[in-house]
Amino acid sequence: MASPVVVALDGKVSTFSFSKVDREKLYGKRERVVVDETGAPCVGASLTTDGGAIIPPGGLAYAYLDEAWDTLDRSELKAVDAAGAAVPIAPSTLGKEQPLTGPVDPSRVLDHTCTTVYELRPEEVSEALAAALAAGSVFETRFNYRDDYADAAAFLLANDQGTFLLVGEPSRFEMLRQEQQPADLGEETEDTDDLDFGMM
Amino acid sequence: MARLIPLMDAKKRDAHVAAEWAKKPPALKMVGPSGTPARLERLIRTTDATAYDALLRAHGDDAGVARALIDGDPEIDLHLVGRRLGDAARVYLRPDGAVLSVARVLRVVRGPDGAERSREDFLDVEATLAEESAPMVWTGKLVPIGEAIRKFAFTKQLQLRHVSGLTFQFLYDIAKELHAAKKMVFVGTGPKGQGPLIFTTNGAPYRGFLEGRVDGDAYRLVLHLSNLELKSTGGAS
Repeated sequence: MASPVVVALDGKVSTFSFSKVDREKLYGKRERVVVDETGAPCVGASLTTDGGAIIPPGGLAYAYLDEAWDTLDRSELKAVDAAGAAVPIAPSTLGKEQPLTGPVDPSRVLDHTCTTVYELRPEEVSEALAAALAAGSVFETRFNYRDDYADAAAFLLANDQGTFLLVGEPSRFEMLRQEQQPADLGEETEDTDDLDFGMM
Repeated sequence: MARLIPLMDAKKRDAHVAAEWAKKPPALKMVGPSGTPARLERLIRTTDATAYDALLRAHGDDAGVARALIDGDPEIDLHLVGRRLGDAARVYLRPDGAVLSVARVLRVVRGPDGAERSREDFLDVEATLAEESAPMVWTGKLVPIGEAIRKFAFTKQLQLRHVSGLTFQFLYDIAKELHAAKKMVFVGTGPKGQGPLIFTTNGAPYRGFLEGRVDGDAYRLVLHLSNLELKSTGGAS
């Protein structure tokens, strides 16, 4: 079981257990299934470009290679940014007290693209935080599931369904003036997810 | 890169404007101990001839597979193991491992409990919002921002941008109206705007809300998309 989400508002600590909220849990899912003429499900596989081999599911391994084609152990790898500067690993925030800032303006949430939603279940919540959430306040903190490079903003809020933590990436949209026009109009691809009308 | 989409305002005027997805942060690169670039490769580990199912078919049962493993290395194709996969074609395998030549594609619907609800032939679902489609409709349903963010997770965002002086004023006015009201407006497709926003064939359907901000002579109009409500999953982990 994962360590809890621990946050502090004005020095008062609150602790929540959590679970991820996703479409499959709420609405179920619609999936594409390929079957043969008897209706038996078939599995996808990869055919090599020379047609010499078929790689079944689970038949691939992923490995980091250097310029000499030698494999590199993941523990040896380091991340760098576009300028080549080393990026430090951010520690997991789970089980560690994270300060809450706010209440923040609700539009602050809209400055981020939500990547993950967690439902929080209170284990020990300060009266002040419980009252503020019940009144509709939104608080900001940081969230990182495990030690990695993905430290992100997270927003704590509540509704009549429960308490939620919304993790997001800044959307980085700019204010536009008349002289700013899009330079590049054309076809753009969007992520295509499984077809699902569960909430429609 | 932006795309053109048709948009209708509160006065039922419509115009084509540019829409641009939120920019992803620059990806990090991985380097080895000496600082040289490391690249992630897909390498062949097993083929359909050396996988467990194939060995079981060839040797009858687990005992037969075990004997074959003691006698030799039937699970390893020394010519292929470790080779880079590169570009590969997609094929489907029947339960007996044979390549499927004529595929039938079904859409299977499962409920939150995983139980199958329906099974039917898969039919393409066309995009509902594209350059040549009917405009995205302003429903007039205004929702306070604080209420919207507590009801929906906005998992995609598009910034709407002007493509001319006229569309600058068009979008600026929409942003100004929403900014003053401190609300978002529900937008959609279909005659009454109740239809989902689908941007590509078989793409995910979304609900859309426009949010506007103005600062002097500058504006920001963002289409926030959601396909996930903030609802309890009842403790499912």
